[in-house]
Amino acid sequence: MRRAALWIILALALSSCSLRARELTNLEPIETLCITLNDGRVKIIACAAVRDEDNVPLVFQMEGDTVSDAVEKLKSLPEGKDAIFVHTKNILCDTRYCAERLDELKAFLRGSAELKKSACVFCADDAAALLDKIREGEGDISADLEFLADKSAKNEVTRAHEVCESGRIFAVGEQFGSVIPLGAERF
Amino acid sequence: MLLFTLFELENKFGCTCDLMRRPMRLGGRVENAAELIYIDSLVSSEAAGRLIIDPLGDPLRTAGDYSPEAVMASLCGLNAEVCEDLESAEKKLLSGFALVYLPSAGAAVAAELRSPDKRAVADPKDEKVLKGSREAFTECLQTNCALLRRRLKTADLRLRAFSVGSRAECTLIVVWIEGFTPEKLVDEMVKRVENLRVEGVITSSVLEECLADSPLSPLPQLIVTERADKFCLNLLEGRVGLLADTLPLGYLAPATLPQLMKAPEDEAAHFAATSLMTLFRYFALFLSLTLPAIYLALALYHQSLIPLRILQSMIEAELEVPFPTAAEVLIMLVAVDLLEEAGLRMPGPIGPTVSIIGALIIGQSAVEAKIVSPIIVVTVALASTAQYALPNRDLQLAVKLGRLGLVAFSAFFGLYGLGAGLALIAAHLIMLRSFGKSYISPLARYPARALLRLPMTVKRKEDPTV
Repeated sequence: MRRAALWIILALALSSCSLRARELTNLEPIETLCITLNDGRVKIIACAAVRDEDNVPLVFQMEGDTVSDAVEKLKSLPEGKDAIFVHTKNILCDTRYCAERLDELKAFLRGSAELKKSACVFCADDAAALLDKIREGEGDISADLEFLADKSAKNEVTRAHEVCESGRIFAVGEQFGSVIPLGAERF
Repeated sequence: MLLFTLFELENKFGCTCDLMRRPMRLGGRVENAAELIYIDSLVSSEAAGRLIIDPLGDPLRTAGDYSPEAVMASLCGLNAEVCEDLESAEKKLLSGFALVYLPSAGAAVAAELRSPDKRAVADPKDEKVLKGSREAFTECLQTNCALLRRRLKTADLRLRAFSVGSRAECTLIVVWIEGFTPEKLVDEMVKRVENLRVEGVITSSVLEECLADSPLSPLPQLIVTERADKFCLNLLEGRVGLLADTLPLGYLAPATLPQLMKAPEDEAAHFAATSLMTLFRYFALFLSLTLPAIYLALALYHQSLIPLRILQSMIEAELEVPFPTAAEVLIMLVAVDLLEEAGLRMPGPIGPTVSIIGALIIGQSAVEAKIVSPIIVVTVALASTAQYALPNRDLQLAVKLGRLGLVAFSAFFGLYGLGAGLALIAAHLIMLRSFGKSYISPLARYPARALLRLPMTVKRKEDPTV
């Protein structure tokens, strides 16, 4: 029994589980991710779930050659904080980015081990502006996103922007874990 | 022939002030001088004078014969016997006997004059029930035996006495029901009692540790009860019992986890209600053992398993606290244990009040002072409260130890560590035996019988569990 206990503890120690411990205070769970293009480079704007003193969600930005590259860079934030994308609910993509780099986006969504399959991908004419509106709590954009996600899940989205009043938001697919009908015709 | 002298006997006790010597004359004659010796704190002086000195001083009662046997016969009505060696004389003195030392014979006659100052049978303090007997064991072995005899009116009830203790002798009584308790179990208990090598049995832990199969295990391996009815009920289930002089407790073996999870009032309530409460107790056991460890594992390693809104509020609470999460959990666990300990040590009715007010004030103040986050207070408080749903105090202490171990495993290795810790606890439970019986019996074979209380109609058809 004692020997078994020692083996178990040794195995756990060697598996270096303890090195992966992260304090809650060092975490920034990202709720909404915005992907745009900036001079040919991918720019991502991450909107955290935690709010500042003015009750506005914190925002982090990063640029990279690809969306995966930018997201990887964003994981290590200043002050030793780590961004985690496991709780990301909405991914807002700029229409131009979707049109130009759709395959890269698909590869990122499918390849990311962290993003949950329940996250919804949306496309907007000016995703960055939309994210600002969401942060500031302007209009009822979150409700629109939820509405679109719901429609998308039921495969009822074809011209979803027609029912959105807060701006030109398109649902670009279902929950991306299932086959994503990210057709160019949607944009 | 002189068997022992008075000087030797006195020398054995040294200069103790409570060893009384009273010269007496047998039959009122000067040439028949004798000495009455007793320990003042154990024997009533008034009874010694009335029941020994007066009758032996009466020439009509002694009839001129002053041999030890004749003196013993003169003390009719008293439990008396002849002591022919120093050792037995010493033992009798220490057991509340008065010695009539006869210098001519070099022997003594011991007569029992035990002082009657003993506690009356009272309500159980720790195992109270609404429906059931109100009689608890006392420190007096005879009283405890009487409590058993009154409940188990059968000639098959066996009580076998043993003297243990190299320095301070104590009487232990092994109790069983002949033809019902497995013989092997009785033999095992007798063997263990005979092999007890202790200086004395002053505290309960001496027996519990020395009789346990695995003394290093924190789990209780004897069922300890202060209730006479619970003791008898377990005897009727085929267990063997043990009573100790000066300890107001009864010990039962074998102890199993399902048995330790039973509360005294279980037998008095409806079987469905009892079964439900037993299941709640198992849930409380799990909660109490693992809740702080689960919190720690999730907060430090597996944040992805926490829903966003809860994670958000956890982070916001943690941002204002200067300590690491593991330290916070430890601070809270220690604080709760301190409060509990203070509540136990406080005299009488103040204890619970101090515990409750202390917990409220300290918990509230700790959150306001941003020493710990509110969710940790809730987690630890819930685990500590669940611990009190367990009916056995020793099991509660074992759970407390297990909880600390699991917290350490979780702090270092996350959910993998928690899983490994639980596996170790499970392995220990499976391997642990109490008097040769598996500690988790009959959970594996008859889970329903272990977890639920079966109706009497079903019980009658089945064999006893032990």
